[in-house]
Amino acid sequence: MATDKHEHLETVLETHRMTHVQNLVDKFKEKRNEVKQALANHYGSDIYYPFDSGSFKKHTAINTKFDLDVVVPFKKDSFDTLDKMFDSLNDFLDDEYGEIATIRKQKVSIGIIFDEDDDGDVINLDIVPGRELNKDQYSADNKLNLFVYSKYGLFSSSTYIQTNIQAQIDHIKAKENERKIIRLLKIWNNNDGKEYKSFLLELFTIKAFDKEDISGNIWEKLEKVMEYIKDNATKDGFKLIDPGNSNNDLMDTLESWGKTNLSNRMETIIERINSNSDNIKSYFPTNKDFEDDDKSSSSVGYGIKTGGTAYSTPPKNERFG
Amino acid sequence: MEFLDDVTKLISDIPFVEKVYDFVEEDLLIKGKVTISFKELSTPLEFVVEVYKCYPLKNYDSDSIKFKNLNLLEYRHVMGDGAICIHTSHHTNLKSKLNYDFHSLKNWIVKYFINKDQDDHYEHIIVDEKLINNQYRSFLFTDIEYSFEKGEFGDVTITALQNGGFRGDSISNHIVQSFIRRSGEQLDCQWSNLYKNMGISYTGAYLFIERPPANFGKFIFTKWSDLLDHLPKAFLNFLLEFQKKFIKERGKLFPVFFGYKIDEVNIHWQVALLEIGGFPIIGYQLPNKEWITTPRNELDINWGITRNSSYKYFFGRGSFSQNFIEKKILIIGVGAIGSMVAKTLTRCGCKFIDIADYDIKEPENVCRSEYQFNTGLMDKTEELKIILGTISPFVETSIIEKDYFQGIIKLYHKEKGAKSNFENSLNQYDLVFDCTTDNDLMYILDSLKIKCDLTNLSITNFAKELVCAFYPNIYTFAMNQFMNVLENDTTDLYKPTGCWSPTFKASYNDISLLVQMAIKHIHNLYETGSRKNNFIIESDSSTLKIVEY
Amino acid sequence: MKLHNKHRNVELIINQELLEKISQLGIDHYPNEFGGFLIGKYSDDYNTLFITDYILPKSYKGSRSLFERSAKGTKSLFSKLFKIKKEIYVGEWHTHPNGSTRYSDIDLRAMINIESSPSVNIKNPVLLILSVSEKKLNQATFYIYENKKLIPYE
Repeated sequence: MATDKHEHLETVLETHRMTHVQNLVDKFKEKRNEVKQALANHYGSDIYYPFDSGSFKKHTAINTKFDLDVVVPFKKDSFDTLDKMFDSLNDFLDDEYGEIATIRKQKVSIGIIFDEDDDGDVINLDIVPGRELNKDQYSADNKLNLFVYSKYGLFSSSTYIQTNIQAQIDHIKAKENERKIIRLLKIWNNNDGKEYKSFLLELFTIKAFDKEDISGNIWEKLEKVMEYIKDNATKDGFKLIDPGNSNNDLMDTLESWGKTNLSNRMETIIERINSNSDNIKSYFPTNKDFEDDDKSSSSVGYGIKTGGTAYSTPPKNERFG
Repeated sequence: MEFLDDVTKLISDIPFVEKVYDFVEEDLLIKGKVTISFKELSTPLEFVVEVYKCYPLKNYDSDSIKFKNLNLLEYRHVMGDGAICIHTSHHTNLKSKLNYDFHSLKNWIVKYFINKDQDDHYEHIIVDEKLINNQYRSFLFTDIEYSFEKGEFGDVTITALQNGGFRGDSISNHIVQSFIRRSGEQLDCQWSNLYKNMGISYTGAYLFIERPPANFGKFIFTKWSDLLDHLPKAFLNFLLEFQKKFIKERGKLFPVFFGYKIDEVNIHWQVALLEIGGFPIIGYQLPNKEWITTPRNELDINWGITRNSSYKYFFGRGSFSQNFIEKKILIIGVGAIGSMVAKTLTRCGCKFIDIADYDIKEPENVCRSEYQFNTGLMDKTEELKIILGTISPFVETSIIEKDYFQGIIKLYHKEKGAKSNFENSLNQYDLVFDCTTDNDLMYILDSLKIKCDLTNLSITNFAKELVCAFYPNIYTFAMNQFMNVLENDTTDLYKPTGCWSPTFKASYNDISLLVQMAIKHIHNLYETGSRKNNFIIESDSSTLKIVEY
Repeated sequence: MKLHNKHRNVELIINQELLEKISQLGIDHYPNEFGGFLIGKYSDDYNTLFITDYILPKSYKGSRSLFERSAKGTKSLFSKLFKIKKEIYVGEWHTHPNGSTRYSDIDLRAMINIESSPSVNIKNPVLLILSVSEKKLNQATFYIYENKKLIPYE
């Protein structure tokens, strides 16, 4: 049984759309707005109004794994040091939500993981504090300094990183083809050990579209992007420059074995899919929760419930209009 | 006469053989003397040469030529009868074989007689393993975490294993459980709990003498007089007291272990078997009421058989890497595949293997799993635990509550907080094998957030392929392989009589071939630290192929 | 009359006489809505449904835009039908006086309830909607129910 790769990938994207989890997304957004308001109230004129970033904003989110990112741009004079800013935000969130959520310091953000609600849903927010680079210039240049938190404390080499989150968001704007591939690669990564940062896959994809002729149907595009990653991941001098900071090369976040692994992974996946199209389902699975039942197995004939009675009796009262 | 003539003629032709004389033919062999002389050897050496008539072939597994000289006992690799242990090799040609063997003799002379080379590795002392009261007796010991002082002594507890046949006679086998110091401190041997919890059959005594009880460091003492210098007075009094106390059990054998160092850290034990009532000691009471005990030097020592069965020796010939054997392992599902995994890991030295299964072993399961017929019907886990324990005295196996994985987890996995409980219980392990072929369980386990390594093993019908998937990419991969990629022909499943669920068809040979290959590959992934890519093993009648995904 | 549903690739067969009988019952109750149960059997391969009969509810309420029926007192009828003729309950019918044969939200909700009811063992009950006026039948449309949707036969 051969699989139509193009059709399958369309289904993969369809079943991973955020609209399938609209209720959950609404809950996330509600919480996010609540937190944004609380931050605005608490920090007042020390900050510019918090704004959204991350995969939602970039339209590359998938419904199997997502969180919402909020950036809090602090004014230059708000804190003497970036670590004070980071700690202050952590303390505030802990005071505010510590009873109903786990608050934890992450690399450049504070994570809020709300306790499981009655529906069994866990809401996850990442709050990224940044301080404007140049006094009163944030509105004009969008440049922020982020504090880089290290669990290993004092000996960490870099304690801050300059970035421009708005530029990162703009980088992917109006690139629908790229977004599809990014979503597919995220779906793969999420299903295959979660070894790679989404941002890395995002930059790889955009660069591939930029440098190569990426065309054809969705499988052909995906294959070409994967070929590009395979060929370039281990290449000396290959860079993936962060659009928010030209000194930040995302390739530096991979060790050399990580680069080799990524290249090998791409090679194996392409090889397996081309040797048997059914293998595409192992690497790029549909989200079974939202697969259209029409397309599933028993789509012909009149259906009978298994284990039911021999004949039916209609329910007592029914109204028709 | 022909053989005799040929051999003597060929020996005389060897350049460093100075004299060949007194050769005669006996029933099974020819026998004579040679004198060896070469430049580096200051005075010529004389050897008695015995050549068995099967020469140049071997006699069973031992050499059919012997070079003997009783004056050389103090040198390395010389046996009690003065025979030199030489390296020989296989030849069917008489001349070549004689040349080779005489050159080996010459090499021995250069290395051990002239250069007095002491090998690095320890050579066990030679014990003449004797029948005692018409039975052989063996005592297996292993490491303990303590060291002994010279002259310290105490009790030894012993557990009997099975009796059996040995060199045409019977043997009773035992393990040493613990050494109990005079202070009462008990030093346990590091056997698995299964063995530690066996009852004590009887007790013996130990004395740590530090140096091997041997002449030339290799021939064990034969008379109690040889041991005289090693026996502290207090120990002899201890024996005397013991004999008095248990004199009613006259005639019973009482093992006494003599311990000594074989290197800086390792110790070895030899066991002498003393008959109650016939201990080789005489006690005198002095006028001041003090007892003096002296050994009866003229008596022979009856040495029993001891073996070092410590982990290092037990798995000395081959085991998995150190890193792997220390892993805490759980195997869920111990049918055909799971029982083979469990048994293989045990034989490869793994020390912690817990098992889980709700199922019963039926006679029809035996043909393609590691179970046995003679135990009849039994919980699979109960039987496997015993099987693993009988293989290795160093594997700890616990049985997980039988309903946990295939029942409880499924019933409760949707409940709030349940998942984190399951995650915690799995995280106690380093490595979990799911061999249940249970898709529901596979789905749930794959959806957990666990820190341990989870590996799923299953095979297609007729054992055409083995599918191995690693967390967190198990469910999607395995399902897709079975549903779409592999041609898993399920129209011809084996359907047992009655209402049981059908199972795949394949023999022990089919399955174990794939399972062994898979375990080898998995072990290799751990050893090399490679990325654990899911894989399929494809088999046909002549090849096995691993395809990584 | 043979109808086809492309979506599930199934057929529905009803003879003209039976359909006319049902229509007449609807016209008789004009201008109020009226309806009942459909009886039939599936072919051995479950690809064809034969509508063979109908049953009228013992109690019901009909207005110009609403029809509420009860199944009270019909239970033994369904069991007898099955035992004697191997015919079973396969769906519902009702009229839309002066309306179209398009189903309403209330109709869909009713069909969802029916399919999910434990006493119902069929997954694809049918719904017949008859558009009637004072004197005549305007149009009749059969729908097949599947997974919270109603899809018309052609």
